Amino acid sequence: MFANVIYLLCAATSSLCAGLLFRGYRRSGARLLFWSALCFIGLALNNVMLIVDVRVVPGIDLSTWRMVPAVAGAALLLYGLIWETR
Amino acid sequence: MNGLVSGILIAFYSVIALFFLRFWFAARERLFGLFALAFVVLAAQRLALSLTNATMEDQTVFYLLRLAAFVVIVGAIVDKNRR
Amino acid sequence: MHPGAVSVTPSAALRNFLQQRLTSIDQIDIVLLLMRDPARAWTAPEVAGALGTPPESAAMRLFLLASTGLVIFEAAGMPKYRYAPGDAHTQALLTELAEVYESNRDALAALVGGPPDPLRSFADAFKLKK
Repeated sequence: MFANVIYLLCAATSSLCAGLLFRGYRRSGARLLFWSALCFIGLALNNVMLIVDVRVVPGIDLSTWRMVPAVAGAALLLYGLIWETR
Repeated sequence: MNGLVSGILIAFYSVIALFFLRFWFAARERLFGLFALAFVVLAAQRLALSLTNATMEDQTVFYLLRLAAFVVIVGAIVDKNRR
Repeated sequence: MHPGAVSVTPSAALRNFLQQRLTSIDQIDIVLLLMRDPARAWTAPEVAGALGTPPESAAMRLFLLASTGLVIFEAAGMPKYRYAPGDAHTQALLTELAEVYESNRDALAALVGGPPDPLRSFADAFKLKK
């Protein structure tokens, strides 16, 4: 339904960002991009798990677990922002 | 537990937004300003969810907020490529 | 570069040396700065001021240079660094480096490859074509 389409779009956008950042990391060697890419993968997973939670396993509540990849991704990005920028 | 993790996520997103805000001022690059905005919206969405105790993000406002954040990111990419 | 000057090309030995011991233009700036006055001991903030770089980066690079033996570290209230004379071979290479540097710093920087600016790289990553 409409919400799921939106979450898919969000996941796709996040994955695109992750892909662009990984490519940028390979080209420039700037480690910040590596951590940023991981963050966007975390966001993508968060969106995918949302769909899974609603559609695939409606009986089980994944609400806390859904946030784990987002928290992990955000933590890694924060690490990169603190240590990998001059 | 949900509340704790939510709180952590809101805090992380907010700090990330602040970093991007700083980069925007430092580098004068619009992309950073837009990313800051996106993360502020993500934090706001998470905060709204927590405050209303909703776990299923089926309510319109929640997924529209999320959509807004990603639209801003797409906008940043489009903007970057148009110049 | 002044008119009529010929750009000095680094020898293979110098290239080798750079690959192994001086991997960024910032490090080269520091070593050559210290080499100009071998008797003087500099603190990190002094080096940063002379070169116009942030003091933390200067401190980090000085420490790195000291650990690879190109610079002498003097522990004191405020740590100081001095140019390390080294052996004749190294001296000769560094003299050559100074010549190359005077003639064309930009080419040297391109050769050595500076550290990528993380913010510039982040923003550039989102350019779809390239």
